[in-house]
Amino acid sequence: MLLTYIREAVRNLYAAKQRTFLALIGIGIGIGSVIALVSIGIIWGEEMMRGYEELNVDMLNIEKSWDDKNKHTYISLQDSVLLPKYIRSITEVIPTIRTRGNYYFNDQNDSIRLLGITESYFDFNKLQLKEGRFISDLDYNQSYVVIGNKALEEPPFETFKGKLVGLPIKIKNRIYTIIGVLEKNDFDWRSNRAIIMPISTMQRNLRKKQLDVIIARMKPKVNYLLAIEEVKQFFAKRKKMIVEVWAEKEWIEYMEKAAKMRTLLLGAISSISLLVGGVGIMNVMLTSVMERRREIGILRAIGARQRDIRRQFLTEAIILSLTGGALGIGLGIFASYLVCWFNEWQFLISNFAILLGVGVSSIVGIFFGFYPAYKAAKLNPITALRSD
Amino acid sequence: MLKIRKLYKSYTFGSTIVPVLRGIDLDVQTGDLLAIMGTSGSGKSTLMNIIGLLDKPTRGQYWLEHKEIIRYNDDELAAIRNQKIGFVFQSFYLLPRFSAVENVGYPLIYRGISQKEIHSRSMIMLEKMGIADRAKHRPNELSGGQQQRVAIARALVGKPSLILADEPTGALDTHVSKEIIDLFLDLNQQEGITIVLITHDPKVAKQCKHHITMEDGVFSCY
Ligand SMILES: Nc1ncnc2c1ncn2[C@@H]1O[C@H](COP(=O)(O)OP(=O)(O)OP(=O)(O)O)[C@@H](O)[C@H]1O
Ligand SMILES: [Mg+2]
Repeated sequence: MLLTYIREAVRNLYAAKQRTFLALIGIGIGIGSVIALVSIGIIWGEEMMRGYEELNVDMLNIEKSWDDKNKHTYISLQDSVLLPKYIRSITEVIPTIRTRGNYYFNDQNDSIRLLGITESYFDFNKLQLKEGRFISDLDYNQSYVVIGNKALEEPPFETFKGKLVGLPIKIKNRIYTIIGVLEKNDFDWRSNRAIIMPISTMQRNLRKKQLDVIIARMKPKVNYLLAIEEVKQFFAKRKKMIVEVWAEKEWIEYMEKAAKMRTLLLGAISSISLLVGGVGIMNVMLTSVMERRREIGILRAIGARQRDIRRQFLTEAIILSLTGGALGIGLGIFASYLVCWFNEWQFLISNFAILLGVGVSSIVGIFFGFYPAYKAAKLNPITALRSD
Repeated sequence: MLKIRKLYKSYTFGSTIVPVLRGIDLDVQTGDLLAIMGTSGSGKSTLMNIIGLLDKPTRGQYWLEHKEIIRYNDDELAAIRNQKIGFVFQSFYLLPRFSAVENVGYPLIYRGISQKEIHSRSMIMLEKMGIADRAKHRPNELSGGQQQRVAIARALVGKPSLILADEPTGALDTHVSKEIIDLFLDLNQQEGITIVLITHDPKVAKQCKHHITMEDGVFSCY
């Protein structure tokens, strides 16, 4: 029975080639645009996530909150030492001081960001060296600095290329020795334009006791919300201090959510063209019903029930939209490939998008095919037979 | 076979009611061959469609094989049409995109019979009609007479107890008409199939066991 429906459907669609073709284009573009836009949304999201994957997902940033109006409290080195001891989910900390100061180098004078850190800052931010070595925790109070990739103005880098290590640099009227130069780094943008020194040296030479940030690493897979709460409690209890803590993960989750929303939005926009395609199918089917009224009458005369007629036309609509769907899947994948190629994104064929295409096209077929099929079935046999 | 009492049928156009059948009484025995004559517009086709369960009377009673038709719903009527009644129309009414053999077998599809069985039964019918060599041809590749033979084969394939033929030779020339009419006479005489036939040709009517004439929605002479 189903075979007969399909056989007749294919014949009828083939007989009305031109109309079928136009309807196929309509539904193909509709489903194609849904697949293209949803795929692009997914690929785009993955692309952005790929950037964040390399971030430290287990990282917390702890700063004094703006809400804390007490001028005398600050985060101390002592706090950073105690933090991993008191809070089990934190494994490691990097106390950080951020400030600015003037440097003199090779007759040049400029203001620059100064970072006081500990040794683990290097691994933590996945820094890489162009020359020399990084700060070690053994450089306690030593006047050593590491230069960020863009810290000094262009000429010195050109002139002293490969020869910066060992040269003296004057910062806030003290002489330091350059022990390393960093490669450009995409994640820790701060280090690119900064001069980095041991935190001990900075506290002594620049007379700045308070830390600006503690970067803390959590144990993997720890609930970061809980960890944040623990850190806040720690500071509240110890020094009645309000701190602001944010997790890298929070940001990643936010980005993931945004990517999902974007995909959803793209899908919603594209469903407008799907609607147009669906209406196209409905139009073809209605015309087909009108033209084949006599045939419907014949079928009724030889014993077709209303539901036989309805199924016949519904099968036709579904075949039409599934074929259009197949066309649309091809079209959509091609379009998303083009967009990927253009943006230099990593192309992938999303199973979800294909599933969506097949699902949506059958739903479109049933939805827009139902009314014409219903109309065909409800035709009075005599009126149908008499028409030509 | 069938019994009709006080059957009325009228069409409404807005506020005016046009009566077409005005109190028909009719009995057809099993194995009968009845010809219905009458002027154009007298209501022959309307009656035929009601007998064939394609249309419903406005008023009146109709029994087919002792069962009162009014009790059946649309699906059941379709099943009765499929199993008990075979139609032959003036303009053949074949499905244009299907071959002769497929057209013949179409009623059997609604009985859930296998494709193979349908095909062999259809071929047997085509052979009986003498056009087996045209089995694969589409209707538009056949002559009028051949098309009508296909239509008759389709009407017979389901082994119906009643054949309804509405001016089956109306679109054919005299020579072919005679062949088709002979076919009906044969079917009635040799296989005992009940046939109701509408015709404008008195010579054809005289060849039938009974003939009646319709005039303005009633039978003028029995
Ligand atoms: N569906 C319909 N709606 C309105 N009027 C109809 C309808 N069908 C038939 N009629 C009217 O009923 C009358 C009888 O029609 P019918 O087709 O039964 O005549 P007939 O005897 O078969 O004529 P013919 O010999 O020309 O085929 C006609 O006047 C026709 O206009
Ligand atoms: Mg008529």
